[in-house]
Amino acid sequence: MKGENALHLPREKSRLRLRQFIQIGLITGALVLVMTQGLGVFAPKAHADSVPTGLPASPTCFAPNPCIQKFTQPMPRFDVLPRNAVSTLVPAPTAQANTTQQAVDPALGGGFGPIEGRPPGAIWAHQGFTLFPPQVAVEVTQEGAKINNVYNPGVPASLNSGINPATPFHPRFHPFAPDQGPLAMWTFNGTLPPKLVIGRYAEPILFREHNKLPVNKAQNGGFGINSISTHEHNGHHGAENDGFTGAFFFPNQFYDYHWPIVLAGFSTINTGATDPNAATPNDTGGKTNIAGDWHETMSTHWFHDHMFSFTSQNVYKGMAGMFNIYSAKDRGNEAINDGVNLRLPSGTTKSWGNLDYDVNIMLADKAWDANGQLAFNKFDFDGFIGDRMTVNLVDNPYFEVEARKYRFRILNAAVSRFFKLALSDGSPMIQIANDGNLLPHPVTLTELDEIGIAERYDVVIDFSRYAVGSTVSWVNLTKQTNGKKPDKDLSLQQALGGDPNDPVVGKFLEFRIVRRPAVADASQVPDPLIPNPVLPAVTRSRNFEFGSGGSQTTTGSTSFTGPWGIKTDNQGPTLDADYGRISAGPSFGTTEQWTLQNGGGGWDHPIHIHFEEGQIIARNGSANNVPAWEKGRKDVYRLRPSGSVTIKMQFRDWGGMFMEHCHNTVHEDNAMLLRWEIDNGGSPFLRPLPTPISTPQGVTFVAPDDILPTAF
Amino acid sequence: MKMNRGLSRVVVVSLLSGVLILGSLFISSHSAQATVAVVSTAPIVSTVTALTSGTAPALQTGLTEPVTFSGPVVVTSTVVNDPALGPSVVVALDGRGLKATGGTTGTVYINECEANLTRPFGATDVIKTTFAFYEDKPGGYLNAKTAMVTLNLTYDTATMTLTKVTGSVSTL
Repeated sequence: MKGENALHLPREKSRLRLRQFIQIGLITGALVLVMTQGLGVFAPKAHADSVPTGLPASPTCFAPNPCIQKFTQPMPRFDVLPRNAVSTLVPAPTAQANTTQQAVDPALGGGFGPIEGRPPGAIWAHQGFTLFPPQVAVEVTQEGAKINNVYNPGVPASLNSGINPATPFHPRFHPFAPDQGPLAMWTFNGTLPPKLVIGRYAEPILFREHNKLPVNKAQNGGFGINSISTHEHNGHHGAENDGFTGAFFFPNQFYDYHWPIVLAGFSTINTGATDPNAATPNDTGGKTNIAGDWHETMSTHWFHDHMFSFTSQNVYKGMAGMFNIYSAKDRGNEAINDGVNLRLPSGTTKSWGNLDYDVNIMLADKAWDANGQLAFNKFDFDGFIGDRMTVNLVDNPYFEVEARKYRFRILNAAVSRFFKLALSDGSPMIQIANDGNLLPHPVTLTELDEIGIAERYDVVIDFSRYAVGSTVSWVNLTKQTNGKKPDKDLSLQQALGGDPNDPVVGKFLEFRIVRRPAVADASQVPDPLIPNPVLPAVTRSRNFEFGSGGSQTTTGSTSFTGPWGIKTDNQGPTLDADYGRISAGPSFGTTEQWTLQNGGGGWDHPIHIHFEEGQIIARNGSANNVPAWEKGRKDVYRLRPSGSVTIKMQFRDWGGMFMEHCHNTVHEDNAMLLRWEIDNGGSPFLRPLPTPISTPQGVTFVAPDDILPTAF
Repeated sequence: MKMNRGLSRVVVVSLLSGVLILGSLFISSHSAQATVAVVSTAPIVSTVTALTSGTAPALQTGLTEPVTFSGPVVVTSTVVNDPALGPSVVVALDGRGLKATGGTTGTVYINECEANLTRPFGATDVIKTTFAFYEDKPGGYLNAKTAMVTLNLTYDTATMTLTKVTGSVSTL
């Protein structure tokens, strides 16, 4: 047998060796996959139209605890992040990326690399850093789940369903469920509830994010990746602060995001800051005029991971928070009557930014495994649908309210699911904002439209119509059993009965009217709210068709292949994502008309365009098809099956590379994403912009690997 | 050295075979799970206006009088017959043309009956959706009430067009 190999073995032994050979191969290959992808590669495969997608039903009993029942735990308010002095940041923030070198963990390749993961040099320097120097520092980590000992809901316990913020807050979906492990859930600061940033116009924020995730990317609990990029959705900021999908950073690095918080048009409109409607609240109840167009005032943003090809997994793991932006119009104080303040439900204690009656709501369907740990199926490219409804990342809670008006800032933070909300008694709600922008006029609805992924609907509910001691619930009317699109919108009566195939249909948040307000409700819901800005004439039109059957024409680390893609301007193939490819390059300052076309037949795609807000001027070719709640400004445009949306946008104030993609993040991650850029606004920008290539050892640049013929 | 070289070869080839086997499994799962709608058809759009009427009783609305509704509800169906997914329909309805009058005072009410509903496609469909209505005066929307419209839709399943709609207004 000395020196033998399989080729010299007798036939019987050769078969044995072949079997062993395959076994060794499988084991070795499996180990390689586990080392590179984590244990999630062996998650159960998807079964068509089952909820949760391709996974067993989430268990609701964890012995020795009682089984989880709906409405048995309070809904926590968001955890308000501290607003610190910029001087607390060490090292101090810099206009260009801080390239001070540090040793890189061997698991990340070793050697040395920069402490900040932002691409270096002038092109990725903070635009307007001198003009809008940071005044507030918000410093966070991204890390594995742990207990929160510093929960700050921003309101007293009486306005937070009795939750004592001094009690350690566990990272779990229900008190009867296990804590999430540090590999299963990754969140800002590693804790729950989800985080809220409070900001106001003309008070620039330096958002410093430290990556404290495991250096070994296989330590991911089965899904997610440890390199990250945070998108401030939908900030009117320079691209270096937008969370570009290719500008990601690694464990032990930080990234400084500079959010100047300016009104769009600040460089061309109302530059003398004379318009009293364009203003920001001060700390004494007054306001200070600022430059820009007040018709572009924004209110409800969110921020979330945007890692190339991993957004769905990372956001699902918990990498999402919200950002309330206050202005003289949307003050967060309902009592100040100065002719500018809209006096929306909020509170009166502080001069601005009261959260008493202004509640952030994050909706997300989830699933968990037999151990109660967050579970995800990353092999179904249609999308992922969970079987447990969470609100602010807890399962089917209740929320105590006073008998008065409340504002709710509803965010759909799901991966692939649409929600349609109604109150269980059919009472009206007043929609005041869409995608963070106050509407021109309030819209009174008993059933909201389907809220697409990443869309935000702000609504006002008047609980004064209810008796103290009574309850009313939010109900999800949309049944959805796969990532393709909603199955069906049910009637309220049907939805109240639930659906055997979709546990997320039905009541999911119970409002408990616990008392009359101690102070009279001073809030208003005026009409008009914020009229649309008048944009310059359109100088160019573009067309983007979102569909399946995408192909890839490039290779390399910026390029990805998946079933989805985007065809631009009716030319060439439907292309898979490549953030090294420039698909559009609108000229600085101009207004363009973009038509977003669903080329995917019966599918639905909620399309997000970064950076600029758009006005929908037609649906399926007609202005008459634009519903009342979409007549303001938006940043997510759901196409509906075979539908189209035509919008106009002005590209101004800032430059750099941005994105456009489906916000069904599974579609996005599997190649339905493109890069566009504004690069002719003057130095330091180049046309075209070089593409950053991020590594733990530093960021290098390469020329774009493709520029579509109609881009410029 | 000979043995080591042989062992190395086995490991390398084994690794390659493992990657190939797992790769093929991954690809098969990939193709199995991604439903690729390569072919799609243009949407089939049809509109029917239904003259609709009905009453929202005071007891249900909380108003001091019944409110009578009468007028058109415009129903537009957009059917997409995706070969990979089967037919589906989005029903847009616009009942803002409904005239509503208080039975006692003659007060005029306006409404925001506008909706886009995802529905399965079939020969018939019954849609029940609620909507808000309120007194036609400044700030009237702050005291809105709820009514419900029931629509019976009939389709020509061959052409996938909407052929008939009847409707009524009531309350929950």
